[in-house]
Amino acid sequence: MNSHNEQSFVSKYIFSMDHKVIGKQFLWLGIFFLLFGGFQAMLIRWSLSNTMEPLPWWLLGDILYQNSPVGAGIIGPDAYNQLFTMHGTIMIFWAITPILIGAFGNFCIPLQIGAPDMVFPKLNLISFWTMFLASVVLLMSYLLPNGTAAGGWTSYPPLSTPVGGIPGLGQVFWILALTLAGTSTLMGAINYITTIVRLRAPGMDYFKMPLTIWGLFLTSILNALFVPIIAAGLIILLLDNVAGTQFLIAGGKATIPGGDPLLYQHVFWIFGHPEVYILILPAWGVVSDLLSVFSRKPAFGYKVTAICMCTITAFSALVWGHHMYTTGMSPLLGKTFMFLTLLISIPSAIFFFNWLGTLWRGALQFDTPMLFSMSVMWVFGLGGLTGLYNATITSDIYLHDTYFVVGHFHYTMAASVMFGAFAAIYFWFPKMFGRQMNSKLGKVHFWFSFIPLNMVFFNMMVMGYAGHHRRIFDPTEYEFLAPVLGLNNLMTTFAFILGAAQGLFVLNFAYSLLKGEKAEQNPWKSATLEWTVDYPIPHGNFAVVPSVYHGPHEYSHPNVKERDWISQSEPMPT
Amino acid sequence: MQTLTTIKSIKTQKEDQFTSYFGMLIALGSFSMLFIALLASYGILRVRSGIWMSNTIETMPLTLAWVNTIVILISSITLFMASKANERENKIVTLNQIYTTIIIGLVFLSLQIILWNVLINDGFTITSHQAGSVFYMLSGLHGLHILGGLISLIWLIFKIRVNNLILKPMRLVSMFWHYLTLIWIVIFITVILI
Repeated sequence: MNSHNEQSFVSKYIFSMDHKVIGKQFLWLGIFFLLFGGFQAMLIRWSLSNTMEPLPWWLLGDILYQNSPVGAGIIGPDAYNQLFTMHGTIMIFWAITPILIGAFGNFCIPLQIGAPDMVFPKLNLISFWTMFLASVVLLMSYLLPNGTAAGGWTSYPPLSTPVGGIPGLGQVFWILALTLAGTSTLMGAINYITTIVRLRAPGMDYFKMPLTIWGLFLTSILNALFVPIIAAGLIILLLDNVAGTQFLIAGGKATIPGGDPLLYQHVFWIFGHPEVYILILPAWGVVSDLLSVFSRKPAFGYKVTAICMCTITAFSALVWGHHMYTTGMSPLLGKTFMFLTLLISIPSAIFFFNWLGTLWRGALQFDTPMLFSMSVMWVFGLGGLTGLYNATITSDIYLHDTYFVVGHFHYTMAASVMFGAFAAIYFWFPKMFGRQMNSKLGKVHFWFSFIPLNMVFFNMMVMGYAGHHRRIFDPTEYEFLAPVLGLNNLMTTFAFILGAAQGLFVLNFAYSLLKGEKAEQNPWKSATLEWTVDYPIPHGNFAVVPSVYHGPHEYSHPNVKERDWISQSEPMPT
Repeated sequence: MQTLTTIKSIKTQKEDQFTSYFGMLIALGSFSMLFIALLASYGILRVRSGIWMSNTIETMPLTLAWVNTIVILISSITLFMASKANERENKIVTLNQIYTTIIIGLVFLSLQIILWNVLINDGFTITSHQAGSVFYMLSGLHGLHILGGLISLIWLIFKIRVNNLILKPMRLVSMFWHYLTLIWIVIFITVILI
């Protein structure tokens, strides 16, 4: 009896094939790494405004960097390089990807399309545990004598190769961890695409799917196509690191002629630019749906939004060169990339206006998920607009590799995706855990995240415009940065407030998980299918396969009398 | 009524099979992107470095490479015959053909190692030229996938022994194996012949 119970615990909560459990596992993993990477950001900020000063106790100064060559508790230049490298890597591949794609992809896709589970549950299980293994390899690299990888999250050669690069095995571990994480993502993508194509409930046409599903669908297509490209880059980089090949090494130190460091940059960005859309598309989808739910009216231009997302997906594959304007590419090629990049702003603008159209004359309800969704509009708007300056060759040649770029991609990738993820967590928490998150604490968390975040990321762009290079260790060494050093310190202060505010989130999450108010079946009065089942949702989801009669955003429909929404599985009264 | 349910179950079974093939096709598409990226990198490196295999090796063991290509083609044929036998529900022939495929696959890997040895003795190593790096990278990666294919063939044998109706896994493993044959032919033509 006892052993039977233990076994069922393992297969129920650890090696589960239920998409909801796997989704939660991804959520735990993602939140852990979000906090981990966020803490590294705090260390980076401390180092930028208090260069070579010992860490205070509240940044664990008594524990970290005790064996630092520049003094106990002090972040030296090498450690700083490792910090920003791992901060970027972890946030992109271990925080955003698991939360939005891993957790909400797994949780939402079968529930929102009316499927009993993912189409390949075993593959799903393997996908999570591959990611777990990747995390272990990544964390093991902290134990290496020379520390982790330090070539930046892009790992450009020669920084990432043994010839003329940074010593130590950190880069090899980074490559292995990323390969495993990529394999996990790929398995997820195969599963998601097949599930969405094959397992939609009767009546659930492509243009009746919630936009969240559209976002995840397009993300998965991009993942299936472009994650293998970075795998190719990683194989080449790995061979250069361990087998003595020189694919990526040129110049005086090369012993085998014909290598080319730019090859890696191309391969990296052929993957890397779709990757930024891989990260943002699920957030776009979630936000498009939530704006409709909390405006109590249908998403404005639903079909157009979906088509715009498809267009952007297609374009995202053609613009990687705009990351490489300063590599001396042919002006014709540069102009082509610039033109294609600027073209993306057309579909982006269309669906941005669709968001505004959704809000227009809606009965807005400012619940926590809505606040985060609306803030995504703000941060993504700013991030998108500053992208135009980076896309234009003339301004990019000045702005390249400055904090302007850092600010831009923190707005688009970090802020938009993180706020999108928070919106999703606050929104689906009741369906995942059966309880409501505390809304007061949620709103405090929102304001203490939103304002400091803008103070940090906006000023990054100001600093960048003043010439602050993205990987400078000690800003006080440069005369041209003297006028903006005050800003630098201000940013650090706000970064700490932003960091501390995430403590509120953790508190709220843990408290609501254990003691939160029990949620009703459909607390947000949302029309999509996942809200038609009671918590806890059994393995297999729907007792009867639901039939879908209309689109996902039927709010305030004139035919529905006694309430302002109608579920997708209810026939419309005439 | 009875026939209707049977027809329905056959229909769902077929749909279920198609779902698996669909997933496999996406996976093979992803593999293709990997090999396309590596082959494109090879093209760039080759154009950049100017010299290539024929310039660096005195006598290219072309015969061996041809034999190897024919060997892997034969393995695809035997696996195809296994599939056909499987469709006829002839368990013994199916198993025999899969065993043959595994043996031929092992022969392919051994010949590959012999080919590597011949080249290394000729001074053509992974670090001697870009050509060597590319050749060993691509053939090594392909070899690793063949190893994966062999493991899935062994898994398939266990599956067939336990239960007779294994149309789906048979087709899936076949798809993967034929794909690897195709990839080898592409590598053979682009890296060795040209």
